[in-house]
Amino acid sequence: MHFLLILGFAIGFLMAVAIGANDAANSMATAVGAKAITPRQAILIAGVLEFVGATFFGKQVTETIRKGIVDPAKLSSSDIVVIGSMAALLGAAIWIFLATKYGLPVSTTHSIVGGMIGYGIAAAGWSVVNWDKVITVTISWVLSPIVGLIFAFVMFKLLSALILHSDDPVKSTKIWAPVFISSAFVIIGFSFGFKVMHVSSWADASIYGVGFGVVALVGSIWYVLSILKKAQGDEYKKVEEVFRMAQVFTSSYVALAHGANDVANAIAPVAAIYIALQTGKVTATATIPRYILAIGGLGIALGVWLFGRKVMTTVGEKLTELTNTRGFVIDFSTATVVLGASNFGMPISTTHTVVGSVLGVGFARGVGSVNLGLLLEIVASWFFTVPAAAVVSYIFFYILKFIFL
Amino acid sequence: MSVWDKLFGGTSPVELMIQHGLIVERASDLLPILWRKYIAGEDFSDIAKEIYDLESQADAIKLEIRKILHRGFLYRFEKHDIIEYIRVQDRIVDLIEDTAKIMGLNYVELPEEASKKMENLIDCIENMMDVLKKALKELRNVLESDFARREVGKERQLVEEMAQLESKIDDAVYDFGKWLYAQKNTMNPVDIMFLRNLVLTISHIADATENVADKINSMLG
Repeated sequence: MHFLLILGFAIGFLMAVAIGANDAANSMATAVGAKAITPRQAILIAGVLEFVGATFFGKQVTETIRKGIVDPAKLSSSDIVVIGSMAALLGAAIWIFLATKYGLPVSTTHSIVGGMIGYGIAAAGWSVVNWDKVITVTISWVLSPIVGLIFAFVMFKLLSALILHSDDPVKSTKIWAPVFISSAFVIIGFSFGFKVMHVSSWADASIYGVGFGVVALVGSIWYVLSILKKAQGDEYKKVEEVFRMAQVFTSSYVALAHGANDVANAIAPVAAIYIALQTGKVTATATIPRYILAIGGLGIALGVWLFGRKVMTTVGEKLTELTNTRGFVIDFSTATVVLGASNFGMPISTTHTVVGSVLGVGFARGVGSVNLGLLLEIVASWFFTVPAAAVVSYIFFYILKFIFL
Repeated sequence: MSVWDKLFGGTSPVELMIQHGLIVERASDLLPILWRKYIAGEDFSDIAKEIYDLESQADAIKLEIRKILHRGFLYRFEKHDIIEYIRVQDRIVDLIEDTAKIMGLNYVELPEEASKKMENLIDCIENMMDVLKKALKELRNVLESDFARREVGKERQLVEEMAQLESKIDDAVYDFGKWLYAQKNTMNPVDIMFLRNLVLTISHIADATENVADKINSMLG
């Protein structure tokens, strides 16, 4: 059985590497495209923040996948949890590999949830699956691109009204850009309060939220003024220059949020295997050691480091029509929705949230051309990925059961 | 393929519309030179060739725009508006090309009075095209500012300026036409028909430019 733990760590780690390699572009692409930072700097920032996000903010989503989809307490033994979690991991990984090979829309989040459902049904039938939770998670999948879209639309219109449509856009940038930037830190501060400092009330968390926000406000006022002092060109160029550099903050925010949400896709089944082997019981009460999350974070960071540069450079070159104010709004919306979902323990697709945010700015006539067809791909992903990963996981459960039990 | 690759359609059609317009304007810059060479009886084949080349470049952009307008994509302007816009803007460069071709068919020596009237007409066309160039550049600000009222206002002012120039051009065409028909007893009828054709083609440039201005106005909403 310990062989399965080592194998689980290896596959989970590889999956984390794959997540880092593929999805890292989602976080830093706009900043690289805007030439605010070089791909090398983006890798460094993304690597560190993905790791921080995974390690410090990734626990709740990981818990949802580990024990929210399949109730371990309803399984007959810890061995079933071990081979079942392994089957879920293999099911998700193989489905992602096949889907990527054939160019099908695929989400690691949906795959792992499908994998967990598949093993649950194979192990103890339909009743072992916590369908209420599955429905909640599914609703969060539907809502995340929609919320991203609405958030980005409203935020872009707000930024337009306060800055771009003002009589003096440069003066308005001095006032409002620090507010926009620091509001990201307020949200991070709240998450820090809840997830790292483990405060239990909104009032206590708001100490961290306001604290982070005030420090960021002071820093961003200084930053905005110093950028504007050097900025050249007409007033809109100056505004864009401020947001070009601000995109480094929002891209970092996406990296942090992505790490927090997506680490679970690779590490939740590994955590389930680890806890089952450590305790020898089918229990839902044991908590995930932080170092397991850190291993997942390390895997994501390694994926960013090994493969992210090529992805970011290629993607960045294609984002020429995305101006900095638009890139800022897209990143801000995506990160806020993803981090918000993580705080509620909802495993959502960062990619789908990015699509929603871009479409939001598109509907606000903020970008030249946006592909609405991706909405169909998202819907297709909801309908195909979960059942497909569940079937693969179901089959693997019986194979592993035959070998090990 | 990353999600970013799929999300955006590559080059923005509005940017291509602007590039196309700037090529059209460059072609219009050659009209006064073309006329001066024509009236001086000099060889203007080099200028005509330059105009034909610009027309080809404009055509290539027009085709590219049609190629990049994908189904299922959301654009800043309606797809049919973009196609219609590029059609009317392309008509300008086609007419400039036609003007160069017509000039190559026949040479008519004009008295200074008529030559000045024609020069005035061509200068007016060039002025109108300069305003179009400004309007196209302003369009970038309109988009960058997310259709800020003051930028839209500036754009509409330029559109209005083009309309005023078009009416000035109508006067200049009428003025030349009046002179032309006054020559019915002295000028070769073929030359009269030739000059009539030439001046009407040039006046159509102004009409086409005004159509572009109207289109910009309607696209601003």
